[in-house]
Amino acid sequence: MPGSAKNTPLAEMYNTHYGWLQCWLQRKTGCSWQAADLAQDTFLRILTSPGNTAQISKIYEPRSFLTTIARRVWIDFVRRDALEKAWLEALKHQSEPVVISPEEQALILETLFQIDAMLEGLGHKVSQTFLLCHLEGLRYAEIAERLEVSVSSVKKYMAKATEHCLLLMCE
Amino acid sequence: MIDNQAARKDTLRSAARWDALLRSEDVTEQEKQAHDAWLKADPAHTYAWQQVEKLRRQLQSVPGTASLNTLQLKQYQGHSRRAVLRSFALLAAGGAIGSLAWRQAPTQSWMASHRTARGERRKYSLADGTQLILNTATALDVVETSTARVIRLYEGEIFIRTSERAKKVAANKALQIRTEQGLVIPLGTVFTVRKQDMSTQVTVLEDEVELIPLSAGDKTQRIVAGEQAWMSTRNVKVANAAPQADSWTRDLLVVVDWPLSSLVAELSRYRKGVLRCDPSIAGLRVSGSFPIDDTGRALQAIANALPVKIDRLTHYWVTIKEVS
Repeated sequence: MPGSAKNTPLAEMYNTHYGWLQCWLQRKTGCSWQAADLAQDTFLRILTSPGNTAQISKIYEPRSFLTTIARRVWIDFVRRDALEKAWLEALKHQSEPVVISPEEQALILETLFQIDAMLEGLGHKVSQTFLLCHLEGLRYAEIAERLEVSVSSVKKYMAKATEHCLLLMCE
Repeated sequence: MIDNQAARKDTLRSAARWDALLRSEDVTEQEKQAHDAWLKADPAHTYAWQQVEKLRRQLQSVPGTASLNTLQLKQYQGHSRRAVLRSFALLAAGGAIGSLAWRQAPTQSWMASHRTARGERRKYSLADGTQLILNTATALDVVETSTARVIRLYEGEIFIRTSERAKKVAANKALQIRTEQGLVIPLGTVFTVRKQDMSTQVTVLEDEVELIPLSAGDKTQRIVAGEQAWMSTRNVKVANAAPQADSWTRDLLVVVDWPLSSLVAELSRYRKGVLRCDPSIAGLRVSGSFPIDDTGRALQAIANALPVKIDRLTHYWVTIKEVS
């Protein structure tokens, strides 16, 4: 019988494998606090993703499924970490003082995290073109000069980067 | 179905090309008109163009130069997905080199470390507007993950008032307090959490809080305003809250019919050095409110109320003795 009325497949998976996952993550990260955060995030991510919850009862190897999701959660964590550091570093080098409330900062970091994730996989010049145009407001000629490419390349790069982002947004 | 998807991709590609063209300095009037015609030709085109505008708005919502520098710095530091995956592969391969490299990896600094010294109290706001007051000798980290905002309470005591905004976003970004014993999850509320040696003490002042002991599987215990709970790794004990359990946020310690030894132990949290009382008077009962920002005055108040004297060997070594 595939699960009683009381226990959903996810709850069963949680009860059976949560402890194991936390141990696995602790071995990977060397930190029990972090392992606990990541283990919980892993289950939350499964819970909040409709595709995943529908699949659960069909999974034959729950542990390899869990470690796959846990890896993604962990990668996100490391990326956020790197982004936060880069942001604080960038603020230090601002020429003019800026006052940003914690709320604003959280929103900005979330947006930057999304932008950064979207641009991943694009070539360096393509992503730089996109950022220089949108964030610095540079014109194509200025971007071309900075990246030492032709203006027609800049236009191509822009189309490529935008298409890439649109496809991800509409996935 | 597959045709549909291919057509959608084509439309998005066209929209991206139009955007790239319209941004160029030498765009002509004809090209602009051609774009207008393209937009009107098909609702799918309009939809695709709305996505372009959505992307533009998203990019405009962040401060330009600082954001550019941030993203460039991050790319430069090379924390790409691939680099992380490589670290994982290294670990999977096992061996001391792998784990050593990992430990040196800068992974923990997303957390801002918050700390108060003995006798100090400090206020913070979290990014979601949640108000935090750290009591004396408290250490915690705030960790942002993709699904939760986690306060790791290592030592001491905190007062938390979740914001209206936090309640709204709670569904997708829950606030949690994690201690050695388990999880504390506020359900839109005001409460305090105190880390003790073997347990976590939670006092709820408004609304409700959910407690999940670490080793209790997915069993949760809900406690409501006016209740106080002690959570071990295995279970939760609930009692009525002591009156004015949050009085420390107003620099006061309010006690009703406490043994002197408990009052002394509580006061000693707020001062440096040793504060103790003779066993012969440990059981004397005390009630009152004592200033915790001036423990010297608090001690004087005790001496005035009870048949005891304050024996100051040095400022850092104080004993409360029976009046002989």
